[in-house]
Amino acid sequence: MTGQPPAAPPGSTAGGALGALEDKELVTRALEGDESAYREILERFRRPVFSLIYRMIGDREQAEDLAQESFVKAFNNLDSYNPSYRFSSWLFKIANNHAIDHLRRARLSTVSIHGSPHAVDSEREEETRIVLEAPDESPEQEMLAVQLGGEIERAIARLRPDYRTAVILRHIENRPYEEIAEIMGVPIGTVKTFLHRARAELRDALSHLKEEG
Amino acid sequence: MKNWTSEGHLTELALELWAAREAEDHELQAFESHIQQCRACKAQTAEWRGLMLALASLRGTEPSESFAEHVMERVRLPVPAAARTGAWMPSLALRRIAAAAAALWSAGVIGGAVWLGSRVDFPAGALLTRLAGYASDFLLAAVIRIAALLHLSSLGAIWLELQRSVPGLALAAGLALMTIMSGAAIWTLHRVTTYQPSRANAHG
Repeated sequence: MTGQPPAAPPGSTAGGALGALEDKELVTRALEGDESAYREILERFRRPVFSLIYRMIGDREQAEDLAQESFVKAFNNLDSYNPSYRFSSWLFKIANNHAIDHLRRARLSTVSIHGSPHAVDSEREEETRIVLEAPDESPEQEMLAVQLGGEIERAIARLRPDYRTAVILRHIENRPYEEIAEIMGVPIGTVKTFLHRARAELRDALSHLKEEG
Repeated sequence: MKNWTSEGHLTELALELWAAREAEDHELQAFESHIQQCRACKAQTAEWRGLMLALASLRGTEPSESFAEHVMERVRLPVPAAARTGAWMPSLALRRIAAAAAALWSAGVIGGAVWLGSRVDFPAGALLTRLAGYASDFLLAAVIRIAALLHLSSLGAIWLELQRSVPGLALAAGLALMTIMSGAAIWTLHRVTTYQPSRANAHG
């Protein structure tokens, strides 16, 4: 069993001089005091890091604070980054640890429906809509798709934090198993188990939609 | 190959991996051909496919527009290498070349002094005293200049920038410096070796 190859790296500054550089090269430049390298790293990873934390804790304002803290901690300790690992793994690990610590402190095991990332406004609702493969879907299918979008968010929010991390990294950030294992600090086999159990829970959570449909 | 079937049907894990496209290619092909032939398994795939479709539809969320600025306000940027004291010094390879050149230059000056001293009628003791006097003056001046340079490390940053933008500038500057120093040394030797005590003192 193998993971799919990782998707294209997160967005970087379009056409920027640093845009073509590898993450590790950016880190080297940043350590030399190049501010633009820090900004490029931010540009590449602000969305995935924020997105991970937001889905983990379900509160936009707190997620923003935690994501900023994650970057500040990473940047101020950049010299402790070990280049034999992926930079993204190191950064995601810091972000995930921040989110987990926050959940522990707040004793939150689930995210409220209102805290769901895509439920805060109509724009977010739009983002949750399922992109169906068939372009000529019926109104019933469209309704099901919208319903499914909201349901999957809520179902993910109800997962155990470690299952949630694995699902977000795998299915939203398209990270390979190896990297998820690095980020979570567990063996690859454990990641596979987390994903298998999480998917089974999610499938069960969505099964009523099919029955209703 | 792992056993992906149970009682003639694909296992739940096999169906999940098929829907997620996370098995090896040959395994995916085997799953696919089984699903096409088995109604029960085909019916089972719908839920998994629906789940994968729903997961694939999830997108990342953008933070606020001021996110990057808020982070950068709290980041302690490392002091740029170019601004650190001593960073304006040439690279290690260039330093070795400079050291070798300085050694050659020193040998030439000392050798030249000895040779010139042997050719003129001048007391050796007086020549050495004279040389030591000039050398101490020269050393003092050099120390003052180097100290000033070290304190003005911003000059080093400018120098580094010039080095980056103008290829060969360091070499040209080094050669110019050597020429000036050699000229000064030759002039010093000339002054020392052509020194004549004044007549008044000689007869006094």
